[in-house]
Amino acid sequence: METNLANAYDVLGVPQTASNAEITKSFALAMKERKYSPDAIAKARKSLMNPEDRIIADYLRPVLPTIHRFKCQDFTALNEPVPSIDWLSEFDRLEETIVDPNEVSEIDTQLGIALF
Amino acid sequence: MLILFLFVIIIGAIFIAIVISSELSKLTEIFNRAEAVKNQDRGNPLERDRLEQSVKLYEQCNRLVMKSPWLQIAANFKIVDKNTYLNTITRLDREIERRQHFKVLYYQGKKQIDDKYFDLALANFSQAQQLFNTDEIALLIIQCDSQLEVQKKYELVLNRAKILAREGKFQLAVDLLKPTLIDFDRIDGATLLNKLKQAFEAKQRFAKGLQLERSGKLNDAKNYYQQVLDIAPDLTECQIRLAIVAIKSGDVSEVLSYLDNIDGERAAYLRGFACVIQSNWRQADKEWHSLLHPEVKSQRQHLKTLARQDRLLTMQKIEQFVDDGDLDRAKQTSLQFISKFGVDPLVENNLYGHIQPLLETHIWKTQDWSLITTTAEQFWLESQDMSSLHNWAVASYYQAHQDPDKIADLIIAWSTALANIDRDPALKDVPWFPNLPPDLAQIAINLIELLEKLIDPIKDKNLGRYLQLRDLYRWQIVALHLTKNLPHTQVRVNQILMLPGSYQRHAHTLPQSELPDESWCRLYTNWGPAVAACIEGDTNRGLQIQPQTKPVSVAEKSAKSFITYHEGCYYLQQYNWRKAIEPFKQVRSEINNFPKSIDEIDRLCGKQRQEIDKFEEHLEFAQFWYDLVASKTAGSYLAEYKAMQVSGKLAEEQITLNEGLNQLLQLKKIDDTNPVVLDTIDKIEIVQETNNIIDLIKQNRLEEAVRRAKFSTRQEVKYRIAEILIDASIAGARNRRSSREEILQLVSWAQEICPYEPTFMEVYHSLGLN
Repeated sequence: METNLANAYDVLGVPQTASNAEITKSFALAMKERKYSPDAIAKARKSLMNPEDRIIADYLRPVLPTIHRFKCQDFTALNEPVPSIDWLSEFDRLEETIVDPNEVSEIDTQLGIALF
Repeated sequence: MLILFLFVIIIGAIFIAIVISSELSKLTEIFNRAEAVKNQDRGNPLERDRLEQSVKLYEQCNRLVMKSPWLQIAANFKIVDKNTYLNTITRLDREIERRQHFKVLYYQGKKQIDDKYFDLALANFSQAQQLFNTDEIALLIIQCDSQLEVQKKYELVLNRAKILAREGKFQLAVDLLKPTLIDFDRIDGATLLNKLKQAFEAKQRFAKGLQLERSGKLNDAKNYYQQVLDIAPDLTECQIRLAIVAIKSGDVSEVLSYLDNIDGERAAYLRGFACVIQSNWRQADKEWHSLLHPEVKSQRQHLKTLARQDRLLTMQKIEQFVDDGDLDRAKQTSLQFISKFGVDPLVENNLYGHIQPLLETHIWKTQDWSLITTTAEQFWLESQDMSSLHNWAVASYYQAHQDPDKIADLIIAWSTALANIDRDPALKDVPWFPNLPPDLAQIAINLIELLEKLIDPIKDKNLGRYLQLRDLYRWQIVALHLTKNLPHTQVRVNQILMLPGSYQRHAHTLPQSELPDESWCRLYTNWGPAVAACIEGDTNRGLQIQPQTKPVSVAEKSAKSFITYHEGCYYLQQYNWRKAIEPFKQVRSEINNFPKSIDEIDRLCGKQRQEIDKFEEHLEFAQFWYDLVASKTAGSYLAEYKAMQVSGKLAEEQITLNEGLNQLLQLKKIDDTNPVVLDTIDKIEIVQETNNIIDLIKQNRLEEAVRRAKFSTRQEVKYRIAEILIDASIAGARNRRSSREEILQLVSWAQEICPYEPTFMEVYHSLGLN
């Protein structure tokens, strides 16, 4: 994260509950670790020590939901054999539909009703 | 004297006789023409022209008699018979109507002969014969009679052919119809024959499709079946075959489109089978529910097992995605699961309690602000709650720091978040904060400052871009302030107040209702930025950025009118009132709807007035102002200048005193206390009263004149009349035309009228009058 983009809490590595004493302590630690520039660390400390600025730092943090534990399912039933559903040729009737063209078929009757 | 009287009577009688004679000859001439035209009619029932012409001429005669008093006299003396014309007109009208009816029947019958409907033609000709028994009608009736038998035979064959066609016996129908059509070729027979040809065509193509299907050429079969449907779109068997071919060729998604609205077991089975292939177990079970086939019944039992297996497999997939850290796919699969199988507490709790929060947390850890912002906005659209709105705003803030091109997005997200700051969870229960509630107003001011700090540097880099951002910013901030004051009348989604920017940005994704006809809604239209500019007094910018399209909705029209009203005010501010005419004209009827508009226009017009020099322009401007708002100030201004105009016209004798007075009385209706109007009216009335008394003097009605002057309420009138009397007395004394008594009388009258007038005192004293 760019220095000017970092939230003061992240720069000093303190939680929202941090007291002034904890902020001062974290400031010293951050200066030693140098993850951010001294200027950014100083700014972050100043910001968190001033209630008016600190509340803005609070605002500039995302509100993330609590992460609950993922509950697992029992999958033993998946070991059971899987039945299959086959195509029922009785519903096809292709052969029955193919008739002598000179005969009056079912399709002729349907055509007669549909067209006339 | 008597001779003279008789002479006048005779002359008068001669005059009347000449006039009546002239009118009569005109009437006779038209009547003769009417008769001549009528007599030209040869009684042909298909001709009406001459009868109609003669009716017009008779009507002309009737009108002439009704209009002319001389002909009325002639009618009274039975020289002219009015009823003759009216009776003739009625008789002729009846005849014309009869011929019209005949004509209709005649031509209908002719058409029916052409179409070979001889029975119908015969009925029409018989009716026509009742009206006019002409030779031609008689011949036509004979012609129809002779064809009736042939027609009957043809219709019997036609009906039989239709029955055969409906039974699917197309060849028999053709064999029956064809020879008949050679002798009696009627259009309905030809149409039936064509349809039979189509039926043959469909039959052949369907048979070809079946052969191709049997030989496995499913695509070709499908083409043939489609061709059959082009001829007979409702052919159920063909639709079922297409569905079967789709199942056989694996195009399951097409099946349902072929079987839409088709009843019967086969269609239900095919639909259910397609659903099975698509793993749509619930729908498959629904389709097969009513099928009696024993195999289907046992397959329905399998559906339950398959559905359970499918559910478990999907849940297993979700779990696997979570284990693999592929939270996006875990989320998508969870959503698909809910959509397919309905709500399942385990899946739902895992999605919203674990996957979604983890996904958000992971995304925020990436520090990829583009990704974070896009996802945060997506979450906001999905959840529509305060946390997701807050996160979208914060993500947009960091993204705009990285990429100034995203400042516009930030303005939209930031302002809507600020509009709901009182409900923002980030500012609730802040752990380090004292027990007092935070000063939200101050926090909002500080947050707005942060936004401005991002916008302002753009000014030096790209002025055009900066102005656009300022327009957007101003639009949101104006809406923020305005809607804060109107807590019950805003656009809300899940209780969250939407500012115009986010309202428009998410117009197609968030639920929205039509904007009501209220003033704040103008800001939610495309005219919003221009409206905000006008509200903030930057009308010039508002005019530049307003859309050039035509407003459609009520809110858009209201917004456009609001801007047009401000355009008018803007030109007044610029002391260019003539340019303000057109915009104000467009919104004249709506001006009262704009807050404090009358006071504002009065104020601006008052300033504009100070800048006008020429009298004529004052007049024009006063009229414009008064027409616009009709305020007291405008009325007073108009009345004053109009009164001055009347004075000028009177002075130049362009109008009379009475005309001037009438005009001034009209002006008094506009402003009844205007001193210029009242003063001018008074002056005119003084002159009128004085002139009236002078007229009496000129008529030597001196005593009456003196009495009128004496009791006049106007001192100016009294003075002027007394002055005239004194001048007359002095002149009489000088030229010695008046006696002392007469002079004394004149002065004495003057003293009666103006007893204490200092100017005349010397004269009164000189004649010994006190």
